[in-house]
Amino acid sequence: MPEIIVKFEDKVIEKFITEKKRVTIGRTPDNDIVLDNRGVSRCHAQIEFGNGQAVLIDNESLNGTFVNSRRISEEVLKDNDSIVIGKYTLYYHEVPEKSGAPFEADGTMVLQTKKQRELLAKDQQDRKITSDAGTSVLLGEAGADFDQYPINRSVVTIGKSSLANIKAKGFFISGIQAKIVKESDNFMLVNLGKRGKTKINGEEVDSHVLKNDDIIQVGKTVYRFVESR
Amino acid sequence: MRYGFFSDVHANLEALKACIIDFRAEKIDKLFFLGDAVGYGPDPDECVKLIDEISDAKLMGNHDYAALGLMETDYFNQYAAESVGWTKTSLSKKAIEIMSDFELTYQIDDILLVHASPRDPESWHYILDMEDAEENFAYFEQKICLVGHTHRPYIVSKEASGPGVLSKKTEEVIKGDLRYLINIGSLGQPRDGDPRCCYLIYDSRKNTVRFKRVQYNVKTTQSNMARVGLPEYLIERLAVGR
Repeated sequence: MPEIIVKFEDKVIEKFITEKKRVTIGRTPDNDIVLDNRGVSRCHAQIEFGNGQAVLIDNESLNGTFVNSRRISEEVLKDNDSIVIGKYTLYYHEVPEKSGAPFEADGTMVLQTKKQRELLAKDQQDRKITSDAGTSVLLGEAGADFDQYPINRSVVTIGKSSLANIKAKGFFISGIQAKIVKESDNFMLVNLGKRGKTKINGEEVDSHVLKNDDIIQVGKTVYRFVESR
Repeated sequence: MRYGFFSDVHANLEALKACIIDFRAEKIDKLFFLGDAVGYGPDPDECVKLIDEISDAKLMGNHDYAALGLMETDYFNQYAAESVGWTKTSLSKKAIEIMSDFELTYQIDDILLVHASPRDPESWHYILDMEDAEENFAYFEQKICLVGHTHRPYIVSKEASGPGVLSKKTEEVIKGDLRYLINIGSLGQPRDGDPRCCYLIYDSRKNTVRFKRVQYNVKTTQSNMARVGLPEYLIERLAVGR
């Protein structure tokens, strides 16, 4: 039984295990795999199973279907091929990576469509925030004294000092606990103060190139980094 | 109580060591550092650690801020910018951690401490004339405000509505009806024509402030600066205190 894993922004949003002979992929809800995004055509592509093969066929879609970064019109899939459609990446596995996954009686399993919608909504919201700000933005999550902080200077300091651009809370943090420095296209977060008081996605860091959706924790205060894309 | 206030060490370890001996001789009870531990001099790392050991409070100076990579050095002169660049590479993690906790202002009794000016501490403004000094009185409530930053010691006293009066005496009695803005000079790089270290002693019992000058081995600092390749101009100016 082949498996198709759908990822959006490196996050798995759907695992699709099927015994069907044909799986359709597209934007409209009548498809087997629904990719709800403007870069995806209504009936974008389909996978035909037969003779021990899986054949991916692009339905002359506007933005194309890519297998391992190459645009295709028809392609025999191999195990672990990556298929890019719009902003989604689908991974084809001849057999499910992990056995024992639950699936419905008709042999298909669509997981987490709610999560997918939430992710898409969040992504659209994030894009609006950064496009309004014209730059990458820190969003205040827990304990922050702002909702949004556009990073529009070459250095932004975080700490409890009145000198710090962004005030963070926590009894044991330094006056200037961390800085965010713009380096060409990236933002680098550097810990300056006490060790272990600056965390990215739960891990202590000395320095770290910020990626979209990174959770920055300084002392007790939490921010989310939204990258301008 | 006898408080010692020192500023603008600028990585001059020889000067700092000489003053630490003098602090003991003067029976200083508490020490306060007003910023610029680093920049210009050859021993930033050691100076930061030593200042941390001896001081009851430590302020952030513009050179410290620049060495932490928190501001552009565009407005620094060429020599200062060069020494900031070198300083950045020679600071240990421990020193960076210490400096990241330097404060912008500090109050002890009725005395406000700030590196550059009480009006706008974060812009590192230089108080260079009487007019500017008088204006700054409106930006602190305490009886005394101590600053560093320009490396030139002076005492400006002022009645509530009167003009500022400049004194360059080495000792003044603090008077009940006056307020004071005092530049405590520089420990590691004096620029008032006297190359000796300068710091300020406040005696709460006698109610006096006194500038203290301390001789140190300038030549040792100069040869250490040459050894690490700091600019010739910075090496020469130490000997003349300019």
